Amino acid sequence: MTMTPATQSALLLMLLGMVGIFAVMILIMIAVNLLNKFAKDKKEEK
Amino acid sequence: MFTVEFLQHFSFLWDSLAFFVTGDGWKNLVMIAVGGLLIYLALAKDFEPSLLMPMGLGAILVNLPFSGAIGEAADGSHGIIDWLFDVGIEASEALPLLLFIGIGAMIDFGPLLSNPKMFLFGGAAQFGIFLTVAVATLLGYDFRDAAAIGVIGAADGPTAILVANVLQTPYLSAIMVAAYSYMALVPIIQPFAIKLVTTKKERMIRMTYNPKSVSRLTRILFPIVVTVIAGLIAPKSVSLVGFLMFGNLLRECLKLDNLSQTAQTSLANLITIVLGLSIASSMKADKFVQWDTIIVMGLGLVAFVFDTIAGVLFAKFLNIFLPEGKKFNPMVGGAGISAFPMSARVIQKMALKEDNQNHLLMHAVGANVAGQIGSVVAGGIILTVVPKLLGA
Repeated sequence: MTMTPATQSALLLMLLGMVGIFAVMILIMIAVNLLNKFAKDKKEEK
Repeated sequence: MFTVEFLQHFSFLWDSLAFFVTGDGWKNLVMIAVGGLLIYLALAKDFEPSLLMPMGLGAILVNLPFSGAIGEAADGSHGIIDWLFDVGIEASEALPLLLFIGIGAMIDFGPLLSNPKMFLFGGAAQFGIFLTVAVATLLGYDFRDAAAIGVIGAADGPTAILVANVLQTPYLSAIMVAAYSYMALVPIIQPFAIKLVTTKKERMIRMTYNPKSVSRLTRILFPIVVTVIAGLIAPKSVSLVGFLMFGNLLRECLKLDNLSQTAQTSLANLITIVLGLSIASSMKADKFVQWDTIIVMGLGLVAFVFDTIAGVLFAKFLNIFLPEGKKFNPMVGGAGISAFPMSARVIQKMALKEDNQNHLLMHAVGANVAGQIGSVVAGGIILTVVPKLLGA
């Protein structure tokens, strides 16, 4: 096993991939929290 | 005259039999046996029967000598299985994408929307994908192929097919077989991986379930918001996430029940049948019977195991900051993979085995559907980042 340019690219992909996934998931989580807070159905508002 | 024609038929049978014992013909026999094994696993062991059965029969069809289901005839017409693959997968990725509409229509994101913290596990449990890419490059695989192999860890057949096909890896068939086989083996793989990194005490942690009500407006806006956010961060994920969320919007808008029902049943069933047969196009002996296939299958297992371990360890990490009574049962983190609903069921079963009053199903379902989103986002990120790193 040797550290090749492909392995370096794979490690960079790991970093970018996990940061990207968490960025998407955290943004969606925030959006869902906001939706749960503000997006009420008309019947619920009454 | 009749006798000559009769004997000519016999000569063709002889040619076919001779094919198996000359040159690499034995590889075709191996693939026919693999096809038989897939059918056995599907029908006798109930392993993903809707996909493994068509794949198994397809493997037999494409590996019979001089098969008319593949290749090009003298009149220029294509064998049906090659044609299905060319049109439905290679040219457009239409089949896996259309299947996502059906999957989206089947999924109730309610348990996740009422407990949004579970989104984090859907992210953490994708780590196995990226770790496997690194391991594959260490084993000497080209970066593009390694990325395609890693996607087996998405635990999501359509995503694996789509990413492997776009990256044009020669290991497409092994990746597809591994992705679907391991999904069927989740009840064996996950308990093993979870027990490796948890104590009995941790597996007995109870979690209270107090679901918040989720408004219809939230359920309708959710698929649109997810598509926009994922599309802005990983543009290549738009088709994957977009079709999944389109299916979910059909379900949640409550105005298109006929379309929603069609997507969940007729569309999903039809695509599943055609997809299984199309995949068989890449299970020809010359491409499949090689050592690389076994290595790729092994790497797929690594991806599944480390997905689960990463989800569990992430839950344990979060527990460091949480007070008693609010801690996660770490097993729930392991449900953050895309294999839905098997993974959630496995966690529920494990929890009940440790403590027969510990019901984790709804938490696990939340993490599991988050994993569905996480896996398609991971696939989209790979499709976005890999070509850039390759300078394409």
